[in-house]
Amino acid sequence: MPGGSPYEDDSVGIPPGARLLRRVNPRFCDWNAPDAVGNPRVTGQAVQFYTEEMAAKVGCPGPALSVIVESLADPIEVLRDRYAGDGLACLTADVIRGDSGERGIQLWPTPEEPAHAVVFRVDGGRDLSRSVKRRLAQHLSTNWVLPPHSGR
Amino acid sequence: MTPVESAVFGAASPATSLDESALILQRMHFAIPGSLAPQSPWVHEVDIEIKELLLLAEGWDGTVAYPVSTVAVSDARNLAAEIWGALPELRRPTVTPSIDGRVVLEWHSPDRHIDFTIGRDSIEVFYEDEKEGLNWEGPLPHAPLNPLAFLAGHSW
Repeated sequence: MPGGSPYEDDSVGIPPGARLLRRVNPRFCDWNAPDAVGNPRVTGQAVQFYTEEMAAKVGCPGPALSVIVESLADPIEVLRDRYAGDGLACLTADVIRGDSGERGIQLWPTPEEPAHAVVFRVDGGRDLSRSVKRRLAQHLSTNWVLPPHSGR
Repeated sequence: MTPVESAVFGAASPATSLDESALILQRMHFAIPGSLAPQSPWVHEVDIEIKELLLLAEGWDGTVAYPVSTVAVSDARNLAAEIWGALPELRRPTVTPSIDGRVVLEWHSPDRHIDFTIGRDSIEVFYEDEKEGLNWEGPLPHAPLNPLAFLAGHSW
C-alpha cells in the first residue's frame, strides 16, 4: 500500500512486554515433528496477513494480522470455547515490532473480540516477508498457551 | 503417464500458467516417476493430503480464508511428485494451505528451511540457511540456488 499504513502503532497502550495471543488453526501446524511434549510446530502460514479484501470483511482498513491482547482478553476458558478447534500461542509486542520497528500494533476491537488488535507493516506492505513469518512462527511454536488438536 | 504427470507435462494440462515453472523444473533435471504410489514411502500420502485441501470451504480458518485453488492443488501434486522423483530418499514435506487459497510444501529443520508456495498462477520459493547466512524468497524461476540442491544437501 503506497503511502504507508492506515493503522497507527500504539506503543503506549501495547508496550514491548505486552503478550499478544494468536489463534492458530491446526491446518497451519506441522504435526510431523512434535516437540518434547507433543505440541506441533507452527508454520509461517499462521501469520499471513489478511488481503485487503479479507481485511474489509472483518472491518479493517488494510492488510493486517489479527491478535488478541491478553491483558484485555476474557479468561482462557472463554477463549477456548470461543475459538474451539484452534490453538492459542503467544508473542510479545517487542518481538512483533522487530528491532527496527518495522511493524506496528493497534488495538482494533470487534463485536466478537473486544481485545482484538492488528499487526501491520508500518510501510503499508501487504504481507510479512517469509523470513519474518518464519521467526514469528518459531516464537509461537515455543509459546503455546493452548495447543490445538490435530483433528486427524 | 499418470494423471499427476500429465497435469504438468501433458498437452491437456490445466496448469498452463505453470509453464515457466515447469520449464525450470525440467531444466533442473527432475526425474519423472513412472508410477507414483507403490514405490514411495511418502508421495502417495502427501498426494492425498494435498487433494484433501479441496474440501476446505470458504472461511475454513474460522474467519475469512478462501477455498484452496483447484489449480494450486493440481500443481502442488505435480511438484511433490517431481521432487520425490528426483530425491526419493528425502523425507516428506509438511503440507499446509494458506488463507489466500494456495498450497505450501515445506521442509524444515532447526537451522534450515525451504518451502514452495503454489498458487493458481505461480510457484514461489523461500529458503533460509541460518548457518550459511542464506535467505531468499521469490518466484521459483528466479531462484539463484537450485532448490533441489538445497533440499539434497541437508539432512532434514
